[in-house]
Amino acid sequence: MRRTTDKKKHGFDIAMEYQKKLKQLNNRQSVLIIDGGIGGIDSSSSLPVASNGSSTSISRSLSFDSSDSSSISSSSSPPPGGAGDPGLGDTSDGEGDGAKRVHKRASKVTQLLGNTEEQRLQAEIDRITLSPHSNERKQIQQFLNNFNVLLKNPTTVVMIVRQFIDTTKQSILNDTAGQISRLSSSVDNSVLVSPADKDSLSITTIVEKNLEKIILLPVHKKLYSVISQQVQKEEQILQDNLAKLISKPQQFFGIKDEFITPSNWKSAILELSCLDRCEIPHHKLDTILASARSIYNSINYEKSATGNEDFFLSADDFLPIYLYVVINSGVKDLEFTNQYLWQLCDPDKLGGEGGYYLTVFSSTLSLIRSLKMDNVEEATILDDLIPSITLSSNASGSDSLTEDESSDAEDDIIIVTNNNNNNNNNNNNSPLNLSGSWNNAYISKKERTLSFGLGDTKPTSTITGTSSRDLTKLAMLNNHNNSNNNNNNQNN
Amino acid sequence: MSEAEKSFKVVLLGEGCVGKTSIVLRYIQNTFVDKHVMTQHAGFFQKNINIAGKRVGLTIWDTAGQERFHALGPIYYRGSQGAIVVYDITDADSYTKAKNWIKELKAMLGNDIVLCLIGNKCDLEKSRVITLEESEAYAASVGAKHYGTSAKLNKGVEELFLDLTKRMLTKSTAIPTISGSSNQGATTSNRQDRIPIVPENENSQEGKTCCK
Repeated sequence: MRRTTDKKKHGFDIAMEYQKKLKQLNNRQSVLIIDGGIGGIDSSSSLPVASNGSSTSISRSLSFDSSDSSSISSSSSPPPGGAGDPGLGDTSDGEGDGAKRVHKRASKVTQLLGNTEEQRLQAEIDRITLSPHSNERKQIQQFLNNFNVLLKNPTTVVMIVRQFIDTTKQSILNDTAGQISRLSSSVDNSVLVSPADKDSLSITTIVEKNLEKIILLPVHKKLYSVISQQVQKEEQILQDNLAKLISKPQQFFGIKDEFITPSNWKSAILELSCLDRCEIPHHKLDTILASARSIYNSINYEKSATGNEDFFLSADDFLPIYLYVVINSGVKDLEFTNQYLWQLCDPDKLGGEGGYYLTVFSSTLSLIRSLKMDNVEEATILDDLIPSITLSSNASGSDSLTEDESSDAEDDIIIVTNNNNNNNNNNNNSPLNLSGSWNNAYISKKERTLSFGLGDTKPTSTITGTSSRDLTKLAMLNNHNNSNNNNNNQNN
Repeated sequence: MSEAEKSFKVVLLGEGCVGKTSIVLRYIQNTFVDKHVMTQHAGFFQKNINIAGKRVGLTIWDTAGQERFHALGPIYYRGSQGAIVVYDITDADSYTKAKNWIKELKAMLGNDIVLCLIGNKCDLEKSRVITLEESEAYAASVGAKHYGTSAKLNKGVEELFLDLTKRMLTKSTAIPTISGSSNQGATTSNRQDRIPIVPENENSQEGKTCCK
């Protein structure tokens, strides 16, 4: 069982590579989508779909998702070059048997209805969100038209977008609860492989995914520039430190000897490197989850290959490994991703496993940022670069960095608290300072729910109406928040 | 999964090797293996329990306990309703670290969080260096509750989580919920992540008392 998962994992990695090739074949893509999509659902529907295709237009979500599975399925058939060759395209089913041709005919029907529960649900939700007559469509259109006005308040715009998604989601769920639950009635009864699959089938998730595509994709570039402007400084520090750390071996990060692997966590790194390629928060979060999972998978795989017993990976052991993966992932806008996800992710998802691994992700970023890189050349272990440890050891005059300095532990807190207070002064002067901005995500969630009630009756006016109020509130909360801001962002 | 009426986030803190993860594993899977068998992703656990007819969902977050990761604590514990701070009764150092965590939690989250101080490895009574009286007195002085557990012998683990959940329930019913309008089952109630706003002065005061 575990081995098959691993094989799938590797297949998935290959699929990722294949997807890159696929992107170059824009003109032929649509043909491939229909072709591969059918096979894909049969063979690999249980694979986690971590990355979205490169399409930026609002096409029907059917084609969005099948473009993912198409790459996966085609790669599982041995010669990926054949299917990917633009010359073949339409006739590519010549390589196969009659079954494929049948599939192709069937695709005309399934194009309309979808051949899984999820697709049927998605088609229905698409109908609601894309039909020009629906209220939701009008609201979304209006929202997007007014987006430039919102951009004038860069501090609040992201929050308002998330708020709008929440409001719309709720109204869709309320409107169509009856209709959709009839469509999905068989979902609960069907035999599902894992809870993860169940999750991906839930109506709320599908609505969320759809809305993210419809609302976020058109404004993605603008949001990107807003957020990355805010995190510019952090991003720079992060990238500078990353560049210096990338050559360090696994031991450097404190990965235990028994977990050090010759594979250098390639599969996890590959998973994470897809972050740049997915656009909606849902997929980005899935990518982070996938990379975390592939750490577990590759450990399991290696241990079972060598006949060892399975090892258990606690958070103690996991964090150093994840740190290594993040540093080597080569993702360029890590801090942007961090902010983007905390501020725009579905709050329901943030409460679950996704939230946990996003927290792990954030914590590695904040750790990397906090490192003192003065003596990075001679440092042999991460501890040499961690300010609080060096500070506390200096204070006590001891050079030992090991964990048996019990008397210093008390000093640690003092140092930390003092630092914190110093930083507060800086932060208060510039509420835009993003040092506390993952806290902002929490604030905005509360704000979201507060204005949620208003949004039910007249969403659009609420959004424009509250924006100025929100701004002041946010600034207020921001100050508050920074006072509560923890030590790790800026320990130096 | 089934819907829960309330959902709580519980964070696990403590030095490495005190048995944080063993305690949760014992609780979630009721297994103890000296060489752990990996069955799922560690780090994040979910469990639904029934208390007095109420369905409660617990999400338990494991943290990295090494000193070098100490500064990352706040990222993990913000927004949590309960904290389980674990030390090893045979290791005085881990007890000091646990006390530090509790101080920090109180400074950062005030009274919003239900604190538990856990003396783990009770099966090693012979080599105990932290007396029960001492730790219980300390716990009482900071408004935490002390439990002795042994993940190995499955002693006190179930009680710990049950009691913690009850205390969190009492606390949460005492405070009116922020978002009454959108509560809709297990997942949505996560929305009410309580924002730990500690006034600035309180923060620095705590710092001073730490210094002595």
